[in-house]
Amino acid sequence: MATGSASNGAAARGDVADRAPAVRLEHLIKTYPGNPVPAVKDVSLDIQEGQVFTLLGPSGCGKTTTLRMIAGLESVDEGKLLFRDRVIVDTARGYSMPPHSRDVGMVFQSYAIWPHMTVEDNVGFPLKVRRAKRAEIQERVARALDLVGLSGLEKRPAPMLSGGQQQRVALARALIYEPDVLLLDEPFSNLDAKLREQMRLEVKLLQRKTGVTIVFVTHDQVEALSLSNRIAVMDLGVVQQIGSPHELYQNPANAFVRDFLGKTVLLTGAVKVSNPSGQVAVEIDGAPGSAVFGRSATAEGLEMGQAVNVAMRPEDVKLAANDGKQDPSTGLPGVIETQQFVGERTEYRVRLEGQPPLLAYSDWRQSFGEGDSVWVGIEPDAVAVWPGWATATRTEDNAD
Amino acid sequence: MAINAGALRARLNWADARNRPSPLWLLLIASAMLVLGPMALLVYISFDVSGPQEAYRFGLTHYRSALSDPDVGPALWNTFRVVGTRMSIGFVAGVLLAWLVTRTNIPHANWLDFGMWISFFMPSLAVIQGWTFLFGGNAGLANQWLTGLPFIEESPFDVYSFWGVIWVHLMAQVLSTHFVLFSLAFRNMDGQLEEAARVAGATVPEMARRVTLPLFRPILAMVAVLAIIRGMQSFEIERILGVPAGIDVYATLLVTMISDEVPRIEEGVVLSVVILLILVPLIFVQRFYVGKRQYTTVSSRMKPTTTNLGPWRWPAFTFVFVTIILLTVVPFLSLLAGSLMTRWGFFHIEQVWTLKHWAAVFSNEQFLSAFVTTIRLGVIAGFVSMVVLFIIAYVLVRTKFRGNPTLDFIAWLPWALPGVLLSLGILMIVLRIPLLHFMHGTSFVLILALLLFRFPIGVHLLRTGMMQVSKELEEAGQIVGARWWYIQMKIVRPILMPMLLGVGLISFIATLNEVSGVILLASTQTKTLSLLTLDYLIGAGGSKEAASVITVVIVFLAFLAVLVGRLFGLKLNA
Repeated sequence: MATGSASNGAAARGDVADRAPAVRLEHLIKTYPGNPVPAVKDVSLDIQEGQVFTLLGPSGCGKTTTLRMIAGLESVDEGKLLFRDRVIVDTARGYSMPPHSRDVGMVFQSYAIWPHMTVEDNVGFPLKVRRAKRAEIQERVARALDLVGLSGLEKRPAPMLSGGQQQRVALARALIYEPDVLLLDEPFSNLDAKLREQMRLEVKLLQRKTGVTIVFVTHDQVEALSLSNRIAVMDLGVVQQIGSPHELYQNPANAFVRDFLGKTVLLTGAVKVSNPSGQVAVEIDGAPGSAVFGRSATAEGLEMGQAVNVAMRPEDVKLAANDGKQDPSTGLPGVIETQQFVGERTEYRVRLEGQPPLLAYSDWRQSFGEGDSVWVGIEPDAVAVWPGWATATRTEDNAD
Repeated sequence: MAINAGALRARLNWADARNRPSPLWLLLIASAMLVLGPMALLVYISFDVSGPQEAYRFGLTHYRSALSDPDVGPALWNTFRVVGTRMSIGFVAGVLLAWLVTRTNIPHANWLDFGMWISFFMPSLAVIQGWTFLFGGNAGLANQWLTGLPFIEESPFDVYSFWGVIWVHLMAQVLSTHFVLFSLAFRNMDGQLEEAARVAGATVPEMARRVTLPLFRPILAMVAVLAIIRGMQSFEIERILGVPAGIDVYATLLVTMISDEVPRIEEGVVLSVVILLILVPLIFVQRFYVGKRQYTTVSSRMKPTTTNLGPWRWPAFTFVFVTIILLTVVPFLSLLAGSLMTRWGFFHIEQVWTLKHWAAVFSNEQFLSAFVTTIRLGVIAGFVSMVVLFIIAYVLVRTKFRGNPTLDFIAWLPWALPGVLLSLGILMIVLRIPLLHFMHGTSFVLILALLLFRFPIGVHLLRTGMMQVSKELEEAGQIVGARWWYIQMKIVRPILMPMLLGVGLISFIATLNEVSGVILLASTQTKTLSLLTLDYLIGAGGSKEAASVITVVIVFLAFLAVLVGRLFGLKLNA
């Protein structure tokens, strides 16, 4: 995993070699008192100017701690933090810039809109702290509110704002002093599903309009995949992989990244054919004569007969009616155990011989009843083949 | 990861930074000296048998002489008697009243609740005088009426007696305190726990025995300990009503010992150490239950199930209503009447009603000076408590300071210590330390004492308030470029204003009512209204009519303070 992050970082640095990254973390370490396990262990990242960079991971993975160290709200135990060429933290020299001098913008999970102030007071506060003239504050507040689509709400008291409006106020307040870096700490988690989608789009547009570098923390992989230029997946205080959303989804560096980025179907089997270019055919346990084609997910080759795990996304599993005449090499026989209609698709739990139940999606046009026999086909390009140990990180049930 | 020299040095630097004494330790030490210093000095002095100009010599002489003092034994016995009696009655009556108001279908429950809360704020000086006016020996108004009835030969009830002291205790503090505590507990209880027992097949008595009572056991224990501690703190009721009837408790005896013409200071100190020894185990029991409170108050917004009183609804209402009238309207009206009568309790004279006491008091030099002193002390003490207690609460809530548990305990401790003991300790510090002599009898030392007494409630309120202010509101201020002090002034202070104001007002009102905590510290120049009232009530050239005028003024000032607070957005039941 360390190699993965280093090579990705190097590649990213190569792209914009003439400019120092907007934010650079070098070997940051943070341990909370009373907790022997470090919250953040040796995290190094480069965040390029104008990117939306996402720290993604489950709760307790260290993503928020990392963000708060960038903001200065959490002290750094060890390591170095730079904004461009400016040293912000360097523990080797015992230096740490206080948060109020760092000039970053931040939107908090609770939005942290000061309840005793109006919208105008909230958004204008950073300029007041910077001793700006009254007329200038007024003009820039109007511009910032226009940017986030809240023009005309200047005088509204903060407690009378809806969730979405509070979020916009928080964005305006974070952007009004034109920081180079904007930090977003799970900003959408308190919004309902529809509003969340809308705000995601708006943040993307806002980033394009202002060119601000965004560092974004979330535990929601859909949010991360749809909003980011680059993503760092974190777990146990360590960066597991850095890459573009497509890279991460298609080529996860390890089982954690693979499983965290989406639901995964795992089947066990044995290698039937393996060629040097990484193409593998696997016979699935419990389905003699079957052949699932995929790519080897490890650098080391796979041997004939080796026990392997076959991983794919549920959307790459295709269900068809089983008329009993299918060629065993084109798929696996199964029986529908349960079906759940969730709107845009139906989710099936399919029982297979000798395998844990399997999760498959199909669109509304196709419909199977519980107990129906089906033929499970698998898209060859979507399958990754792992050596047998990879299942250890996951529950045996594919349909959870 | 390899540790290079730079990283190692950084590690050492950080270790240094962590070990550097933080200014928070100064805060902790200062608070500890303020709270524990006086107590420690009392213990120290009690064992010091050296003569004047001699070095410290350890001995038990003072203990021997104090414990053989003929006044001490009866005073301890009376303390025990009063505390035990008022606690037993208060417990039963408190549970009954709270249960009727919160857990039954009694009519107008909200108004009854409000009335009981009002009684919680009645100054005890007012209640004492109100009842004295009605039942104070043969001059008592009610006693006069009752002896006028056939078959009643002599005054049936006298407040200048053991049962008189108990009665006024119940009316002044005990019922309202117990009601407030029990009703909070009853109201916070999740009714579903009881409903689950009923559905599982338990009858009402079974449910009460197996579910309700076990759930409340910790609260009952906590209230019991609290009742003992509170009982040990009482002073003015015994001083005004008990002493004339020959009933001295330890607190009244202590004040007599210290302020006698020939002061028995060492004996008084020994007596206070004995009381301290009785309190220490209680303090730890109480602390234990306070620490476990999260378990016992069942948090849920579920409305508790109510019992149907059936035909007893209106009798129950009458019972609670009459109790509230006895706690509030009766003592206040009789106090007011007393201040307007030519002679306390005399209706047969030519001119029964008069304003001359009001006129006399308001042209009295002593009153005017006490009035100014009280307002000044109240305002300054209120303001100082706001600032100091805010800082302590801030440290407790927002920092990971290692001394926080200790600071928390110290801030809570004055709550369990009788005012007489604390002020005796402070007096000893001022008298024993030559550098501090100048403070003797000054407003400064009074303000210090008043601040100290407000530590527990103030820190508790501000802490609760601050925990409701999300930390992110402050962090947002930091991020956009504001410094700590600016954030406190522009963000935290305005949000916490109602709480801060509440603490200031509580401090102000307490200054108006405080007797036992300031009686040993005030000089004739720094006498407060409540001390002046006490003088008029028990002093040689006293006037009960003048005392009631001053008490009406105190009540009026207290209500004025609450009104001003409401104007600025204070909520009492926040």
